[in-house]
Amino acid sequence: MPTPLIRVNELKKYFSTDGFGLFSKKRTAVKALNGISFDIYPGETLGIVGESGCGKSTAARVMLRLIPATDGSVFFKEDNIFSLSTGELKNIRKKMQIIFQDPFSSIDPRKNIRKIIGEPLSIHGIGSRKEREERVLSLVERVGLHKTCMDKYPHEFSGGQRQRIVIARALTLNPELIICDEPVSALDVSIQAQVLNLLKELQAEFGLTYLFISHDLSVVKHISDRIAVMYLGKIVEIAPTRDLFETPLHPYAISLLSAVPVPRVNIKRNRIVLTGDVPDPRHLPEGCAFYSRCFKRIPKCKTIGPELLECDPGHSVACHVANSIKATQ
Amino acid sequence: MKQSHTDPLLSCTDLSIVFNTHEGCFSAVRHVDFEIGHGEIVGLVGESGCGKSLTALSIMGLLPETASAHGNAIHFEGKDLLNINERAYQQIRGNRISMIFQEPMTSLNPVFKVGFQVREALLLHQKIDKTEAQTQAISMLKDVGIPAPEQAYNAYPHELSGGMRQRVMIAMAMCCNPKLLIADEPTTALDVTIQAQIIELIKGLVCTRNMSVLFITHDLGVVAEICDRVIVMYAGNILEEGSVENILEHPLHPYTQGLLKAIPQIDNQLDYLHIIPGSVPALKDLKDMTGCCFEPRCTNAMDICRQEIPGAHTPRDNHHVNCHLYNR
Repeated sequence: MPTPLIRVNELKKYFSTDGFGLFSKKRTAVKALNGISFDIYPGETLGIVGESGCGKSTAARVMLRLIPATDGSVFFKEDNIFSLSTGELKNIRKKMQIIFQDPFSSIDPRKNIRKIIGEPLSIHGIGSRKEREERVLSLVERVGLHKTCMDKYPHEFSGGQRQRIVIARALTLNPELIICDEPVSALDVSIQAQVLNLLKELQAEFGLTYLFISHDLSVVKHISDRIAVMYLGKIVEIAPTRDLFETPLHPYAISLLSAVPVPRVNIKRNRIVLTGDVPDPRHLPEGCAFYSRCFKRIPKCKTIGPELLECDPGHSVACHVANSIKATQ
Repeated sequence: MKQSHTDPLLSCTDLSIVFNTHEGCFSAVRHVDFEIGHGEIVGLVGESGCGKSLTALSIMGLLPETASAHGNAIHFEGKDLLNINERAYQQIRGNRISMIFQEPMTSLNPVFKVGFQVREALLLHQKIDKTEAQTQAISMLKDVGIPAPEQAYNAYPHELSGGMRQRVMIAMAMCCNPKLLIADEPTTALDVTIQAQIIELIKGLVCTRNMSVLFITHDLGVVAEICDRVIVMYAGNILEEGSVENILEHPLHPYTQGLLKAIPQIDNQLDYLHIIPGSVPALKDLKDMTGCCFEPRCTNAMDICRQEIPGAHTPRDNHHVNCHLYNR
């Protein structure tokens, strides 16, 4: 087993929701991340899927220390990111970059492309003016934009092109890890395919490691080596892509897979339509968070939250009835 | 599949939508013809900016002020919607034709209770008093699968989740028993498990209430789940139209074929996805185009594609395609 590039250990992030009223006594917190642990190995793509509000994006932001964590640790190689000084953090951030979902709000509209892509170089004081210029030019061409784009401004580009600019900016400092937070969900299907292919090519070319966050299971399946399924701040199942799609063990993962619309007519699928909504994250139930919507629940689930346990090599699941589900498959 | 081609519920002939701007006139929708039969769910698919929402808004008579609809006619229940006054439109809108929008978060008024908003349409269109309207509204909320409808009736929109808000929107649209429901990306803002619930709900309502649906979406997977017939739009033109089976399993237009191959599919694994090169042309570039609007991105483009706008061909039953490849 190679050493992981990233080790996330019991990561927690609570957002406090009290403090608005003078006499408010109730202290409630949204448990956006309720103790998640996983490793990412060099050169692989770990996908994270889950519905809105399950904590996927919070995980990305906490891992980069863009927002402080409540508890837990994130190791990048040997360094615990949460105990680094500001200077050390700045240095390590060169190796960790992020691509956000909305290419319309993640680039500064008042800067031209040359400045946007070259900014990481000037912040870290790398290279002479001429070297920076060359680096930016090579990146612009690598992500499939024309070199005449260098002096244009973001509003002159379409969504797909802007996402290419964001990708070029993330690549500027030769990072090892890129966190992609829903990088294609704002794009049209035909453009989405172009960007997904670009991300794959770049990974092969530069040996990048990706953490790929998306709500779209087909996209995550396409790009990931392993997938973690999140539900209300917890990882409920993590497995190699093929295992997850062939033998999902958590009832939530099973229903999620069955709910993905497929553009085929002649395929008969065993669809499981969940009843009910995702519970309010402010008032999580004490047992399993999925209890209220689960179609396999047993009385134990209501009171005792299941632990994430390995049931096959590399395939872990947090469910009391996983073994009986496994037996029926 | 229910179809009665003799007398469609809605038929739209030669519809164009033109924007008047200080840079001139631009057609966002060009010479579009389609029909919606009784009890039919028609999917209108295409990428953003292809004119699918504008087409829907023009049926509702809700185009933005800068845009205007031109064309032959939009026939609905014996009336031509292009040539009726605002008063007559108000009789139809929300009553005979109603619409649900993409964003359940923004399309409900946050300062009024849910019940008030659902009741409003009933009071406007039906001669009933407030208590009767309340009873009907609550039973409608129940029909769209809202648990505890009495509580939801007295709740404000922010107290409900996204899926519940979309159910409220559907209840509002359905309470006057419309013949045609226009659903503009009704599940795009929702999670997949909630999306599955809403799709089941709309399918159920169509069965029990004998209405037709124009279902606008960019997601071909959703189309497969719900639609009987599909219209594929690109840059303001209809490129292909046919039964859901023909379009998804045997697409003819190069754009539809490319689009289907560009979607990562859950049941097969490719290293790289098929791509359609380039991007959707801007409106002002379309204006100068003399031929097919897809020609610049088409891998099968021929000389004739640059010169002539392709006409409709019908290579098989229930399948029309606007492409020179099928010239015979």
